[in-house]
Amino acid sequence: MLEKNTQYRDKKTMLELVDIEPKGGPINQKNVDTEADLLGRPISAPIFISGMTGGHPETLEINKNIAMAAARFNIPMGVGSQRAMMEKDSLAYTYDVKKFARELILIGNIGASKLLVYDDKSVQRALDRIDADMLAIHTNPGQESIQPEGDLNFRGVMKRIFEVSRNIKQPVVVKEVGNGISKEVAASLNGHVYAIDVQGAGGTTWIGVETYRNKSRYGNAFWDWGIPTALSVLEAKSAFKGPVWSSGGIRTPKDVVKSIAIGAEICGMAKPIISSERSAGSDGVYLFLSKLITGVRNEMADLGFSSIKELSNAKVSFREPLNSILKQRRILKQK
Amino acid sequence: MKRVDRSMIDGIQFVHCAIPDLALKDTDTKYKLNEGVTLPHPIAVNAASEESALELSRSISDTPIAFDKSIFINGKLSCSLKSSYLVGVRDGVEAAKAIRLDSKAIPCMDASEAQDLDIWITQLRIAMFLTNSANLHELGNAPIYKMK
Repeated sequence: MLEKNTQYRDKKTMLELVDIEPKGGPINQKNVDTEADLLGRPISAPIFISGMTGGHPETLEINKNIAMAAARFNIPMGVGSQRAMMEKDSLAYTYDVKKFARELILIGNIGASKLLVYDDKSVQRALDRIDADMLAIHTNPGQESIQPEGDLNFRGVMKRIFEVSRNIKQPVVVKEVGNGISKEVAASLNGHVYAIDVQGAGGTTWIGVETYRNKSRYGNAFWDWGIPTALSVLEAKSAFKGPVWSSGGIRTPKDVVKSIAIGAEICGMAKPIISSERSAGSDGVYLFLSKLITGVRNEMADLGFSSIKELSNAKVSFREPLNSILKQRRILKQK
Repeated sequence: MKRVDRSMIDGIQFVHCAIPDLALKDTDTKYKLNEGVTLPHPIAVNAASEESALELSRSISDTPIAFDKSIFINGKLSCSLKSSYLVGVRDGVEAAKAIRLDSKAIPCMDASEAQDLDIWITQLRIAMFLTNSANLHELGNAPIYKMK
């Protein structure tokens, strides 16, 4: 399905409207340290691989290839929704990638609306089954709206997220699937979950995927629905005290650097990872990550930042229309 | 009858609500006119004449048919209308935007598009769901931003 053009049509991430003020002149790349940390564990760059797949025998190979490459860089990795293995335990092996990469930081995954069905013990069991270090709860009301059998009841979902976050051992990150998180939702989540992964608009649109897949009569009108990634990071940062992760249309080292500069803790990628895995397996993912991290180092060197901490304190400015939107949304003060 | 301002419709975006606290089936599209009539939904079909309004109204039950300053439902004239009809709206998401911009507006589809009415209504309800708006009053206050 992803071979079809399922990218946003008239909406970009708005990272192209973010400018970073250089910290003095360019510095030598050898003096740039891209290391960051997640849950107190070092990672070689502020990058993670968004959860994509699992639950079908063929997906083991994909998850394994990605996991092996990610582990070589200490890059965290997510798996796709664990719903399939929660309903059929014999499919758990398709997510169980730590047997190939013991040191991997692994992020489990369950749909927010499914929390109305599964109790906390079932969720805990699914995470323990694959030795997950975190849980991503994905929320996708837009995608569900276009599916013929979509989960269209979200009443009580927020409360269940709070309960699960309180009752399981692993830290919880709430993530969208490409439509972004607003400051209103971020404010509701504040104090209840560890992190927010905005997964904003500008990359792949799952509403678009479902529109193709189901020949939806409704979907086209919602194709470009969602909050662009940069705006969503800034919205979430304005209302949520914990870490905010940037994903949704992140494709280049510049996207990563800009995301960190506007306050994201780390940046997630999916499409470039799956494309490199499909073309050259684990080596393809390794090569992509290697180039990406080198690219991040080069960008930082050009701007004069020697560490991720320095970059996260960079001065940034916003071009229009992002600047005026941030004022309308009271994220930037009106002059 | 007013033509929708395309720059306004194209220039606003709803702020997506990632975790709505409602079910899609619970979205209430009932629209109460000042004239005391409650419409089942706020999307009207624009008729070319009073005769075609009556004819359309008989063939599409429960659907408001708009002509001039009148509205017809179930084959009869329901009221003379003070609210404004908006033509030039292209789908249910744009209808939601039109209502967000002017809660007294009644988005109107052309009679030639009337077969798509159920699609528009579903799109309107999805837009309500994705903005956590349980009814049209809440949709009228849903967060938006302007692109310019």
